[in-house]
Amino acid sequence: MNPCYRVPRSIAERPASPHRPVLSAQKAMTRSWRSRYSPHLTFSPEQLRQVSQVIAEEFSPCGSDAAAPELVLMPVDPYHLHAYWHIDADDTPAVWKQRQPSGKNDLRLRIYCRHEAQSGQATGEPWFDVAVGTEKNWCDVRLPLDNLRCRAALGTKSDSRPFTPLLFSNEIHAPKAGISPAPTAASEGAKNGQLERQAASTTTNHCDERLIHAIKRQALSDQGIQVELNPHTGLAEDHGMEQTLMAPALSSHTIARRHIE
Amino acid sequence: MKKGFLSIVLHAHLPFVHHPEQPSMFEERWLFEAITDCYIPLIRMFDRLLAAGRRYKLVLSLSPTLIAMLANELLRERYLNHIKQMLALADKEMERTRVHAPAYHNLACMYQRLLSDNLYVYETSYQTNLLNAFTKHLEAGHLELITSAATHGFLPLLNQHESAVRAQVLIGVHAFEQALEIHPSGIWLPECGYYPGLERLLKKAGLHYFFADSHGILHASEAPRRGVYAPLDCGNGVAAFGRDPDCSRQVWSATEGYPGDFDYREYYSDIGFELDLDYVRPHVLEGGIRVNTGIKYHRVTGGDRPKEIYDPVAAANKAREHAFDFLTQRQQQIEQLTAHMEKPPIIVAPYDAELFGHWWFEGPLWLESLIRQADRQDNNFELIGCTDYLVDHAQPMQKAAPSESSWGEHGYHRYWLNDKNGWIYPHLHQACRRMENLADGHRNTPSNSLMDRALKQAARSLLLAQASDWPFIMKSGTTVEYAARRVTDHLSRFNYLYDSITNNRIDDHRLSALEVMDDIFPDIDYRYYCTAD
Repeated sequence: MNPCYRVPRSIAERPASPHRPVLSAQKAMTRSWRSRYSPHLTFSPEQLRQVSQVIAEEFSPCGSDAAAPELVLMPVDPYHLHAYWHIDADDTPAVWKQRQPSGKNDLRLRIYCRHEAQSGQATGEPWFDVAVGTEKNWCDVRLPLDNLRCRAALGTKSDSRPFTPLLFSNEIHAPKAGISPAPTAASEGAKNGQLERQAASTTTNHCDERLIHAIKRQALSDQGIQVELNPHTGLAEDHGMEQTLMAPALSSHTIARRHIE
Repeated sequence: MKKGFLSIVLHAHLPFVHHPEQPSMFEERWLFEAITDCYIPLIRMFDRLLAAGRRYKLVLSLSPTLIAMLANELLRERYLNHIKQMLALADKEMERTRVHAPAYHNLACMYQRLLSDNLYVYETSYQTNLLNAFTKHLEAGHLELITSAATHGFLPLLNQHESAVRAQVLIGVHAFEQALEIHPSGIWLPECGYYPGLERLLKKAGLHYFFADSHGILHASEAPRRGVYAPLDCGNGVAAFGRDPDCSRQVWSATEGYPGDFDYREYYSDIGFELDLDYVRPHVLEGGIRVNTGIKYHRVTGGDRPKEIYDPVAAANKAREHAFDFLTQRQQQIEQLTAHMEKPPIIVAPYDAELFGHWWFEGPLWLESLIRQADRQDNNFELIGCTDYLVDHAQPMQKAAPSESSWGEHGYHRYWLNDKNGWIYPHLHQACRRMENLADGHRNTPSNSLMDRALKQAARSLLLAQASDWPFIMKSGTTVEYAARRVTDHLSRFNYLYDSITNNRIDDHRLSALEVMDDIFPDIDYRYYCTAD
């Protein structure tokens, strides 16, 4: 990965020369430019700069508040995912508004995960909560195992209220970090044009247990990040939430939002 | 029949840097330096090997943005000016060193000859269009040319919207076909970024193979029986070749890599920083800001000693030694592999093309020496293209899905998604969602209408904002301001066009100005963003 602006490792050991990104205006350019699509229009460099500048000022993405409410997960590596969200300030659920006067930060990201080896939707998914601040609209989440399928809900929770989801995410797959078992003769024979996926329901309980243990270990070891486990068996106890997440309309690329008044 | 095969893959890519609105831009030098240091030296090497009748094949991926820049009228004109400026400095150096620095005089003469020859190759041999050179060696059977994603978007992080990946792949293939008049058989996935399922889009694009990093193959859905020394069939016939870690280490390693040898030329010793400012002022940036000129007189040397004078003969000998070492190690590898494999193994050695000549001055010489030494009857392997290997030696392939991976730091996506650059993704994803809406709502727009032009330009703006180079630069910390501005400028242009299209108020003047500035992919099809067929 070393085009001219990228220093390869075998070179990077040596001190780098100062390198400054600046414009060079050696000569004023008098050339004009003609649009290939509207040949009657010609532009001087100055005119091009003006168009560029006006558009950059008026349509900057950083000043835009037109983003729809959403919660998005992205895989980073086998043990991390990145989440970002946008909550529409003018269309906030009442429960969110009610929370504000207390000043207590109880915004949480609830991560639901299942092992890649589990097929389809399990009867329930282990989850853990990560407290997220209101000062930024993203966070990185450490995962207890590799090769997990994850989705999330962003919501509020307090001592007196159960978790109240505001936004639901897409589903992602965190990459695998190790070597798969060698193929068996049976799996070799079963293949015919389509990949055979390791499956299946018989491994569900085992995977759940391993995952739950891993989440508990993470909760004990994580410093500086508040992780809260499902207090029961590792399966989501919030059945309203569960049903919502299981709803068929929530495909992996659907950003769903529920207003809970 | 050889016992095995070696496929050397050079990935040539630079982001689209095209600024007709400025008299010149510092970042244009990325292209100019790559042409002078890397592409022309490689082409001259191909020419010598062709004249010598050597038998070999290399895989060269040309990214669509690089193709566009090599063919671009403005950049070709500016490059000619750039190399002539370099030649003027080399002439001046010959005079200066003759009297004031005789120890450097031979080197000054070397640079003067080198630049004169490069200018001849660029201007006369290939009429300022280096694509002609690559096509020539493709037709001679020594190069297998493949494409990359349209603007080198990092696909695993664009996958939030499948249309974003579809457009990157299909527009990349189309742009390659338009420029080189062949259909690419394979694709270089930007940063080797792969995720399971991507092969479906590659298949739709008519692509037969791609490359994954070693762990992408080793962590596949099934353990690969032949390790990284045979491609995997992803399940739909699209093959994944794995990078050989040994080949990578020998060139890339900070401690063991060939380019760090003490006899090789020191990249960071450049007269642009070492001579009096008044002397080099005409050849550096406005305001006397020093930059690399390409004229470098010292060797790596090693340790904390003062840099010693570069000796081109000693460096050339070392490049030949290193080529022999590489060759010998591949021969041993092939011997070991054939003892355990029922089919001839393939060792895949992918590198960024710009390593050769730019960062590693002697890289083209090393490569040429390797090719010459490999073309011997008693060598146990052959240099092969991936398509030839797939057709003649790979079948049947083991079916398994590679795992999500990249060739970035730590092997995944962290370099392109972190606290320095994560802010771009909500904007990129939102723009893609809007582009889908535009495409869905205007799929029957007549060609060449103002609306059609605006839709195409919106797609160009989105694609240019998606280049993996921008988050890479933001993380690496060099020219961050430029990278951030490129992302926000392209997104601003997209937002402007989105607003114009949705309100049916398209300004021909402004649209035309954007078409002039972001003049890439003239035949782009924005309908790749449609969410339903």
